[in-house]
Amino acid sequence: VKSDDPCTCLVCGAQFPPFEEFCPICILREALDERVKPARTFLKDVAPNRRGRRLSRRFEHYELITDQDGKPVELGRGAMGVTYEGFDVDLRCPVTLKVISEQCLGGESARLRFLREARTGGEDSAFQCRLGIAPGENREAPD
Amino acid sequence: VNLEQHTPLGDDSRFHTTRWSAVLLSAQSQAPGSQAALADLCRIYWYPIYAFIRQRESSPEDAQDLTQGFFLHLLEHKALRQVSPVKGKFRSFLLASLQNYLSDQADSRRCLKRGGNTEFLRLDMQSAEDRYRLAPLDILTADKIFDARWAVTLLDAMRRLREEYAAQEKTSMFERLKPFIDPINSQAAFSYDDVANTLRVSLGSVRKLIFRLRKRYASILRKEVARTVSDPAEVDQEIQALCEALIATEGRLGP
Repeated sequence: VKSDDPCTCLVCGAQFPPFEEFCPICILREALDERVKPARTFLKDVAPNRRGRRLSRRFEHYELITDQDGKPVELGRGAMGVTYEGFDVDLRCPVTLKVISEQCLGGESARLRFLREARTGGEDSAFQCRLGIAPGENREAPD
Repeated sequence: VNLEQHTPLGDDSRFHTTRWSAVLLSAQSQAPGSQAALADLCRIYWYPIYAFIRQRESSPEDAQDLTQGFFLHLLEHKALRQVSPVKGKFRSFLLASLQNYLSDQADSRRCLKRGGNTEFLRLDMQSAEDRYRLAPLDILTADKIFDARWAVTLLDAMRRLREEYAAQEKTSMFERLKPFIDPINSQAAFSYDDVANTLRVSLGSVRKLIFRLRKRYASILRKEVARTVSDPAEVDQEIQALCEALIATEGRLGP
């Protein structure tokens, strides 16, 4: 992760320059009149303890969140692959990115099982959506 | 007109929270201190102007000359008299005036004759160039980038907030409380307990101090925005527009 990569605000989800100490958008919105101030949905409430984390690798409009050391934030690991913390830059919401392991690539049955697991995982998720990402075929959203 | 001759808190302090259109009107009638107050407004927002010009000019020196020339031209009494009574945003007024100025200058390149060799604003050119180079904003229009830089410039209100605390000899308190302006994104990980221990006050007092700090910062920001619009009813609209401009840059704005 380069040091000049934008940061993602954990309050509003907007990206802001890494040299800014605070999210400039949230700061400016604080100056709005109370009557027009938007209700704040804290991303930290759905994905806690992510202070200072950054977005890095992008898969279409999904970005992988990395920690201070630049490592992806791993949420879980199984036979089919690994799940990471991600962010939908269009919808500005946190997502789980499920990456299929290399040994499961190539077989249609493995691909379908991977997608089935991703869909099942999404049903009881605290996140707004879950997505499966298989290298080479990008992502497929759940039904 | 030389900005260095005027201090913001001198005779011009009565203009410090006055809307820009009123300042401009006063400057047109040559009211004492008004032209310097207008110059002070220009001085705050010089970097978005420089960066806008720099996008068109390959040479930093040419951009510097044009920036100096533009402000000199803008604040000349003759030029001020030609400005009809204005409404709207200072940001839009400056950008429109700049575009007219650059259009006039494009053919004749008279900026050197118009005071290009005169240092009117004391510009930190090295710093400006460093900032400019760090901004890979090729997908955005120059107007959008101008607006986003304007928004970032506004946040310099933090400096005023720090000065207020410093005037009360509370700089260390300010530094401790500052991360709580945006505690979620701030890298400083103090807890309320840490602050209470450091400042030797109760937790309840810490909460009150943080509340006041946030409110004060929001108030300073709002007043600064209010200075740049001609109608108080436009303040919220202007803040929303600046937020949109910042969002559009996707965090790729240089410092």
